[in-house]
Amino acid sequence: MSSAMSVLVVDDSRLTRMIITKIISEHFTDWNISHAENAATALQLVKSKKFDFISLDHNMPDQTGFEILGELIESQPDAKIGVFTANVQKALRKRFEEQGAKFYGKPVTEDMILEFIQQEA
Amino acid sequence: MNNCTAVLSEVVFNNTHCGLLVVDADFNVISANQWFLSAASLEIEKIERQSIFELFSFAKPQGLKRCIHDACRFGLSSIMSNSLHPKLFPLYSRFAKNGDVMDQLCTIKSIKHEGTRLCLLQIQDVTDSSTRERFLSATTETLTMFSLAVQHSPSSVVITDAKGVIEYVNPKFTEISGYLSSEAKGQSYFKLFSGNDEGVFQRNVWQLLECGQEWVGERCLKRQSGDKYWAKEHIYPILSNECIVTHFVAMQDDITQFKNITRKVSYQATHDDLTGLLNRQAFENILRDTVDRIGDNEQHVLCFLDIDQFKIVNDTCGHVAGDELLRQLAVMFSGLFVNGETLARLGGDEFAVVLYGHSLATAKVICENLIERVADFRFRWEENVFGQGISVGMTEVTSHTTSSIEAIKQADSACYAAKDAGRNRVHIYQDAEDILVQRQGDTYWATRINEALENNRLVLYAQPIVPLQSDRKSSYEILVRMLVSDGGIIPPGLFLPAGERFNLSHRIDKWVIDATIDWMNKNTNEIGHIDHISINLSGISLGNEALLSHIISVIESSSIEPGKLAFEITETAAIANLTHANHFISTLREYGCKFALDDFGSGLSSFAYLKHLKVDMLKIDGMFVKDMLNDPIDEAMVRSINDVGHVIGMETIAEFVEDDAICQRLKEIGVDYGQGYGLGKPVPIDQILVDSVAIA
Amino acid sequence: MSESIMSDDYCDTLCELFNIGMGRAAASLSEMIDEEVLLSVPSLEAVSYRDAMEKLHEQSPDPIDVVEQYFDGDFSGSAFLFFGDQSSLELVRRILGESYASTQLGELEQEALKEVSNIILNACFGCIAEVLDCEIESGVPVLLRGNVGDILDIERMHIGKEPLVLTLSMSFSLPDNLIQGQVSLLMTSESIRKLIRELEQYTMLYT
Repeated sequence: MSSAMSVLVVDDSRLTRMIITKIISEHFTDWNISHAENAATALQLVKSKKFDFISLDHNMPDQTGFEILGELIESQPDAKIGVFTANVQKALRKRFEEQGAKFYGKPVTEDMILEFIQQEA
Repeated sequence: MNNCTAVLSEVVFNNTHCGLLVVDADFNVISANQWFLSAASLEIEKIERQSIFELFSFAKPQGLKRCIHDACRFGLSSIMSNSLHPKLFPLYSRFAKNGDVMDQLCTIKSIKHEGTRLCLLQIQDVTDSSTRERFLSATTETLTMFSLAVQHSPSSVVITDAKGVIEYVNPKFTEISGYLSSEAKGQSYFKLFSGNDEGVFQRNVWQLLECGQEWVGERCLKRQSGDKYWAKEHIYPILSNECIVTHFVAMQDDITQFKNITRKVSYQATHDDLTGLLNRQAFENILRDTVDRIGDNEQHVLCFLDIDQFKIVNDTCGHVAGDELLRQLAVMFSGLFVNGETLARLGGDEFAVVLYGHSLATAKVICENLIERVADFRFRWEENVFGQGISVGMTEVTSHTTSSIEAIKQADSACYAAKDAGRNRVHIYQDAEDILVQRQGDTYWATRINEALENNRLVLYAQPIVPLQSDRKSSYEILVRMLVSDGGIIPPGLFLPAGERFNLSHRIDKWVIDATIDWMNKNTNEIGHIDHISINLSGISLGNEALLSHIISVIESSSIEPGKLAFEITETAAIANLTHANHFISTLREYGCKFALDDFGSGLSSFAYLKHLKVDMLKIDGMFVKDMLNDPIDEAMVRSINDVGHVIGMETIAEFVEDDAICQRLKEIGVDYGQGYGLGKPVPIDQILVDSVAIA
Repeated sequence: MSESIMSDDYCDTLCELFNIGMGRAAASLSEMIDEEVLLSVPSLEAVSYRDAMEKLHEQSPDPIDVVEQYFDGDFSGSAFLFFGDQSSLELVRRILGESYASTQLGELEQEALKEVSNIILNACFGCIAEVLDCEIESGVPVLLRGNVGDILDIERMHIGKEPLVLTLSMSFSLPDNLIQGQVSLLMTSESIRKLIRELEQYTMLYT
């Protein structure tokens, strides 16, 4: 991977945001990583900036990840979206995957993240 | 672990009354106890080191995998219930009769052995408790259903103990009775709902209930508020296996509304719409009951009341007026019979009353009083005023009365007799009339009239009409009687009504006319002192052209002066057939015959008709005459009729002149003639020749 | 007081662990009933025993159904799953697919309720154990019914004089009915301190 990519991490848990950030930045020091702690902030950010990867939580206080998924895809059609959620029910996984998002169950691990950001290769 | 403990552990392991299975993190069997092996019909050698997921097939293996994983990895214990994992392992109990897989409760625990975490599965046979639980839950469900049904029953439901003390009430009970559950519990049901006749109810109902029988009935009960309500009540005992009463169930339905409706409906079915009195059917039912239940020493009197002048009101003023008259009379009767007498309107202008506990003598006093009250009564309709009269027929009801139908026949015929005897009077049915009255059916009389006409069994009687003012001649009214084979004489009241109904009136009239003219013809010389002979004509004859022609031809072929012949028609008949009447009257008057209006005054509106009816004489209704000395209104009536008659140029005749005092008063008033028992009774026609000589 | 016991960071971490646990529990449940279980975002509070009791009393003045599971090992204490109102009945009825309007849990229903609670609690513990890499040993679940005060009796639980209470509130609902549940962990002060230390180490890995 040649150029620096930009990543948006959407998760209400500070811990998860930190874990994802840490894993990515350990491997790609020059990547630009933005955070959103809820759905509203995420929607704002995708309007102002182009992202290559978006990690998305499902259960959040204002809106669920699935609810904003359509809007994210619309404004960031080229971004890869990966869903990292504790809610690991099959029905939910199926719904996300139908929309073209990758689905990972929490807790977040290094393998998951690497798989996610390297998938296009 | 020393050897002894290890051996003991193994003994315990294999003698535990539940299945013990030890697996490792890879689900491989490490060990299994005897209980498990025999329930699974396996030997330890065949399963050791093999995965349980290969040995057994599970409906949902994920759950068990997770539990074993949790135990081996984190040391967590789990429980797998029979409801969520029915028949987890294919284990069979030695005691199971039907060969079903046992119900199991599986507890999964983490154990440590030589530094490795293993998983201990403990499997209990819960077939018995599951079965019991399922049975319990089914029973509970049924009970819940029943209890819900009672809870929401549309009937009030009360359960009491064997002494009638309330133990349970449903919400409907509170709704109907007003007693809260807490207020009702502990109270005696039968005291709370003692009803009106506590003693009787308690005695009768307890007797039934204590014998294990149920009681169903309707009672008027009190709500907590004191309001009354009608309840349909069903009380039944609950018996134990030993047939001892353990509880009572009392159900109530509030039928107050229903009762009101039924009462209304039954009121309508048993009462006369117009007057509100009982109707004929209800009256007959009551009378039948009375006759059926009468005791040996009991005595009642059945009276039939017939309104004499009803038809006139109805004919001259219309049905609305007639209905009003009946209503007013009904009010008057109701006011007079307030001591439990049964009063009814049988239909038309017929009323009936049963006077309980009366002899004929006392009943007669009551009815005479009634007649007087009616005579005093004036019916006003628009500008018209009508006087009224009634005829009363009475008969005894005693244990000798054979049936209510018999009693009704007797009272009916007595009422006819009262009318015949001149109306406005009481006639008591007497045994002497028995034979005649028993054969009083209309057909019988119709046959008898035909026979009498064919065999000349009718005879003429005559009653004098006496001049009250000087220098006038007497006249006679012709009356008809029937002779019977044994020589008895039957008054017209018994056969004329039947004659009317069988259209025989004009034949009777014709016979009377023929016989009278024949008699006059024979006695032309002997009747010179008589002013005229008066013949009654029925209403139906007035429209009979043939009869009219016949009369003319008979007169023409005789040698009598037409002026000696007069006809009497009743006011009612004349008004009812006004056109025919006028034709009839004018035709015969041209021949010189005279006409009199009979019973005049019974409908006072008839003054108006006088202009149209060209008659020569007015016969003042005896009803006014009879009481004129005591009743100033009656006297005024007599005066008025007399005055009006004179103004129009008619002569006046007073009927029912019963004594000298009346006669004297009539003379003073200026009435031209009088007729009645006080002046002369009806006699066989031939006698008048002798009598008139005497009078002359 | 709650603020001082545990920092927001540790709260967040613990919360996320519970969240993951509940997510797994929901997955298990949804497999059992073939329906998706909806989860709310969890909230966590760490308070003193006294404050926790007051709050629980306020929430549930009437007797409630509680499933208790003790745990031991690196941390010790008791975990409780409280069901709001008729939630326990609702849950069992929904899972067992029974329609009758019973107002009480029978033996079969009690076992089922214990199993369901066990799945939820184990998922939470499992997640903590997995992520923090520590040893826990838990007992089998017990169903208790009574007043909050009797259930959370310190004497009964031998849990020290001033235990701390971690209260995780989250609700899960089934398609037709909302089922309110709340997980509370009653831990000895010592265990809490140990847990905080573990969280500290874990969090430090990522900061």
